[in-house]
Amino acid sequence: MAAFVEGVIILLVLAGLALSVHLSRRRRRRRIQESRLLTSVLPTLDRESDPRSALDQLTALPQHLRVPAVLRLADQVTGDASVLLRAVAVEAGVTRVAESWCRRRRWRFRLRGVRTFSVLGGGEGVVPHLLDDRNPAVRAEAAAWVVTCPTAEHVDRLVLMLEDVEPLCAFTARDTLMRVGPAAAGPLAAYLAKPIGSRAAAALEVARGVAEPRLLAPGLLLCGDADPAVRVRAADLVSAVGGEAAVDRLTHLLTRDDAPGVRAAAARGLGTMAHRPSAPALADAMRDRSWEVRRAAALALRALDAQGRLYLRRTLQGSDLYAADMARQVLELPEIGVEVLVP
Amino acid sequence: MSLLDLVLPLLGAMTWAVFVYFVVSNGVQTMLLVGAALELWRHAQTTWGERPERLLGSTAVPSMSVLAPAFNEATTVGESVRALLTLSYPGLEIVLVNDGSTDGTLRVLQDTFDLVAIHPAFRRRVETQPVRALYRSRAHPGLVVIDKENGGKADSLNAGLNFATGELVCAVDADTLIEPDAFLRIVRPFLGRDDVVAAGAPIRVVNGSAVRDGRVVAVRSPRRPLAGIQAVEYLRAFLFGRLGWNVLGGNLIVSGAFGMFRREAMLDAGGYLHDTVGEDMELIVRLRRRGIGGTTPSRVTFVPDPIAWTEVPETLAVLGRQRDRWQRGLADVLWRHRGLFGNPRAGTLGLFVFPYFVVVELLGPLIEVVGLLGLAAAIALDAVNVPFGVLFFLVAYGWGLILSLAALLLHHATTDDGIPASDLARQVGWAFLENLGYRQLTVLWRVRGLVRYLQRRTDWGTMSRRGFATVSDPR
Repeated sequence: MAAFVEGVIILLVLAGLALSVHLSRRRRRRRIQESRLLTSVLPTLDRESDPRSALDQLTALPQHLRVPAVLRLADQVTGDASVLLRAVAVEAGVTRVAESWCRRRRWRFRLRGVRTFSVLGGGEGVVPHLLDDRNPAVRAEAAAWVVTCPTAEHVDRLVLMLEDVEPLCAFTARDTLMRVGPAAAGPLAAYLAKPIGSRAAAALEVARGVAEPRLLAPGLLLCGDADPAVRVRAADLVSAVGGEAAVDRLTHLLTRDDAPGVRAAAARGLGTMAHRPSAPALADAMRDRSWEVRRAAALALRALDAQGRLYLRRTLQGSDLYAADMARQVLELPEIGVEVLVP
Repeated sequence: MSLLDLVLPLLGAMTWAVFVYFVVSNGVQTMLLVGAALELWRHAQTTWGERPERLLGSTAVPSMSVLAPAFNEATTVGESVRALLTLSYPGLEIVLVNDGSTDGTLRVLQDTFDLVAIHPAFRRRVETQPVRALYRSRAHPGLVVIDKENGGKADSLNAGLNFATGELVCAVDADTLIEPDAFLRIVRPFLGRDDVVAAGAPIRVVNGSAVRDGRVVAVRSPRRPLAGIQAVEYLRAFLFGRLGWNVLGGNLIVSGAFGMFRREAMLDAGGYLHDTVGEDMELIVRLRRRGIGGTTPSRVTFVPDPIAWTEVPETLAVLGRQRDRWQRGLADVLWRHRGLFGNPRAGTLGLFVFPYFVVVELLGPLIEVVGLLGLAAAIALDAVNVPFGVLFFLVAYGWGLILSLAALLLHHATTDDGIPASDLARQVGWAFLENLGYRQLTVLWRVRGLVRYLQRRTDWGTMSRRGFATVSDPR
């Protein structure tokens, strides 16, 4: 009996194996079909060509293959061709399918719908409310979609998503805000002006990536935050934005702050800004008790070219052995060995 | 009452006990299979239409360093490093650690990648053998070579860990081929959860496949039985041996050939241990233990779609040494962390996962040898009957065959290798052959490993490699 049962199971599994190979081959044939479609449709996606040819080829595909085919096409085009493709996708019913997916009860369909719009663009009528979806994968994908439609309302919503409990959503919000760039500066500045405490760290990281002048004021304010992690990020932000006010604040942090990470960030920032008048302060910082601060100060001096190197050579001859050792290490670094000054 | 009257019932009882062991171990394997199927389904839904390459344009992704220890890898290191340099990840840093090679590995690297010496200015948070020199490539500034005194793989990884600047580190073997987008995929769990400290991914067998310029350009099933059976074994082990444990929260191993970690977690844990041959598993168990009873992140997960390829032994001697070493490593790690066994504070890890590894993975070969000998003796002495013997064989091996075939089914249902039907038939054939000699050999090697562990043997043996640059495209 047991042998019979096992024999049946083995036969079933072998049948399943044969079926999966068949499905695998079908997927492969579909890929080849999509590649051929790519080859024939792509040249037609320009203003001089008639888009009906692309539309005819797409509508010739079975319904369930059209969306993947359009997604593959969307990966290959930009600019005007992308706009044309979107129009063709609307005519071929692809966006209608994606919209219906966005309204489905099951998260996997909502995810497919949002992802289709993330690639293709569009979806302004159905995607925004998914920024509050209960499923984190759907929420994150909706956040990624905002790159295609960075309105003030959507960007505001993304800034709030920086505090999402799901790391994937928070990461996608950070990533999207950085990609959105200057359009995120206003909402970020408003957010950072609020008393949000240590939650400011993530927003500051994004703000540094945006590095827009409107972010300087909140950055300077947060350089005085009670949390050292916030002060580090704030130092990075102000050094990315630049200006005299930034230099003053960074110099203050370098000489007065009690957290070594903050002092190191200040040194890095002054090096990034290549602020030569800061050389004496940086040379003093090479005698800091923290290795991290000494290293950051030494690398910052190196970034100040001849003047910085002069201070490094003087430190080499100084009485502080730790400072002299760090100076020697940094002076011996070849150009390709220089550490990135902005973390 | 004669001696035989005492022995026969005992023999019968022992045989039944071993039978129950096989039912339990195969039962757990079946649970893992179901878990793996669920994970694969969920993974397919989550990644539908996903474009991993989107991360290439991201400045928010955590920075990453690849740690590649190399010892006497002169024949393959150039190709391996070239392959690593073409991997897709923003700002990827490659840290190759030359562990005191004596075959000219460093000279190959210097000549191939235009290395220039730099001052070794980095913090040594974990102690290692002395670093002789540090080099950076002029042609590829993201490539750093650490030249150090020989200290073993663990020591090399620790040296790399000290120098690396990435928030995430990926430990690879120098002779592992990694798919170009593998890093963009294996980083996913670290973006999705703050408590993930390590992630593993499938390692597949490259023997028989066509490799060009460090890339697998045509996937084929190995032609030779030994490599072919190992290919099926790897599919089974990674597909549901590791993926299935995701559901049960029980991953205790991330392959040293390809695994990703949070660098700070590794440094806080003290890096890899030197005095064990199971350093990769030992680190994982230590990372997991740090999370017991507290909030320290300690989750270890497995990602099914990034792929790495490795060459498996094609001779019995080399394979035997490898399996012997793996068993010694397993025994050592489980003994070091024996406090987890049955420990309720450790939750599922202590009450289910760890005991499974002890009973099935560690002691299983012994039980199997004793069981087979006992079964033969019991049948000969009429303590059990032949139908029971057949049932025993079916449970022990037939069920295992079903699991292997199911692993092949899961694999082909979810991937698109494009292998020809003849190769699939070959894979099925290897699955059938596995239990006709190969499995028994691995059992003996593992028992040998266990014995050698008890004898305190700590050597690696010699792993000879053909190199895979010369395999031509069979198409």
